[in-house]
Amino acid sequence: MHFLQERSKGSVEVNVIITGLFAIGVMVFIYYIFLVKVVEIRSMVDEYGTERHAINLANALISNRAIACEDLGIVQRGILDKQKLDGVFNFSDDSFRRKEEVLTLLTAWIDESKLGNLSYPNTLNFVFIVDLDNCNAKGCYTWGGILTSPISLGNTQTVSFLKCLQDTFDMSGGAWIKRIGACGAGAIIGGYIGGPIGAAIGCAIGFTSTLWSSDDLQQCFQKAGMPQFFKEWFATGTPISHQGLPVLIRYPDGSLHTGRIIVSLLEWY
Amino acid sequence: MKAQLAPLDIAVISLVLFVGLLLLALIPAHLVTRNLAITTKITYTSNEADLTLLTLLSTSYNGRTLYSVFSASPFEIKSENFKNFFTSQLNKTLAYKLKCYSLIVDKEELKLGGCSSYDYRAAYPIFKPYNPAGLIGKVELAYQKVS
Repeated sequence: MHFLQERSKGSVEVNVIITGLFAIGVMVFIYYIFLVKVVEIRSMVDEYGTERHAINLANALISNRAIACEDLGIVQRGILDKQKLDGVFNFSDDSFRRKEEVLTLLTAWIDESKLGNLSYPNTLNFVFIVDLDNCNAKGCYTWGGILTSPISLGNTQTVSFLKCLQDTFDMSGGAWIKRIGACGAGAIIGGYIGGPIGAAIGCAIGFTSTLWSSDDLQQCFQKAGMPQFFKEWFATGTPISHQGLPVLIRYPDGSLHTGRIIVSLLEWY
Repeated sequence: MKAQLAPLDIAVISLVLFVGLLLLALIPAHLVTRNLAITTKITYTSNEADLTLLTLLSTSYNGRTLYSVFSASPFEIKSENFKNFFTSQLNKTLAYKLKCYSLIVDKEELKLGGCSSYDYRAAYPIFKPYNPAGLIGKVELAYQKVS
């Protein structure tokens, strides 16, 4: 099976050229899939690390004297004290719904000293404790907060990426003319579709999309690596730790309520 | 006559080698992530089962904790009342729908559903003050959630 048939010296049939191009195309496609897979695998390794941290932190919290019950000086693992929870967590709600009210939670920072510096560094440590025996039609009574932790932005991947973006930002007059032009074009199209608001959105899209060229972005991805946030955004599903772990909550009258502690981490490297 | 390879044959051989080399690089990486996924799942399931059993042992049933029921009168777990109570309590504790479970206190067993295997397993020793055969017994819980 030989497709290469030389009719005269230096002439090659078209079908051979097409076949060659097809083979190169297949190789490029497979290599692209390979790169995507490598990014996904690297991201999964990081994500499982975060998962283990979340499970470990939940275990450490349910044995912490600051929120767990004590009997004759012995900590009762998994049994939390309602009054201690009220003292430690700034945020509580009788019908908390995580998705809708997560912005409220962003103001509920828990001071390091209250839980004995229990948190992971360079991480947003979200903690929710839900009382499943104290629910209404809207939701269940919940304590929530974000544990503060030491933060260093020195040599993290995200900072390298941002630095690269800063370094490659083009301040020349030509670049600004291009951005203003893109803003104007976006405003015309947006204004035609959605009036003044559409024009504003169109201008913003046009302006933002011309801040960096695709070559600059590619260069930063290659130089600094893809930031963790992007990788997790692309490659991860719902973490298993988000199901939480079962706990009991003791009320001042001695009654025990069934609950769950949910720890969710957002780590950066 | 000297055998010659046509350019297409060379392309096909190169493609096979290329794919083979990429797979050689990908398979170990895939195995590592699979291993990580299984380890994380086991860490979570063992933690959850452990805390579920711990939580249930402190739960009150007819004025007594389940620990004292298991400790003093394990035969009570066979009653229909207990089965209903335990199933509802376990369902509430898990916050996810229960598929089946098996509770074993010494030789007494309480079962719901017919699962062949369980992902979530936990066991605790209990003190049995009135047991002439031995003062230490064991309570085991295994369950499966609807996936």
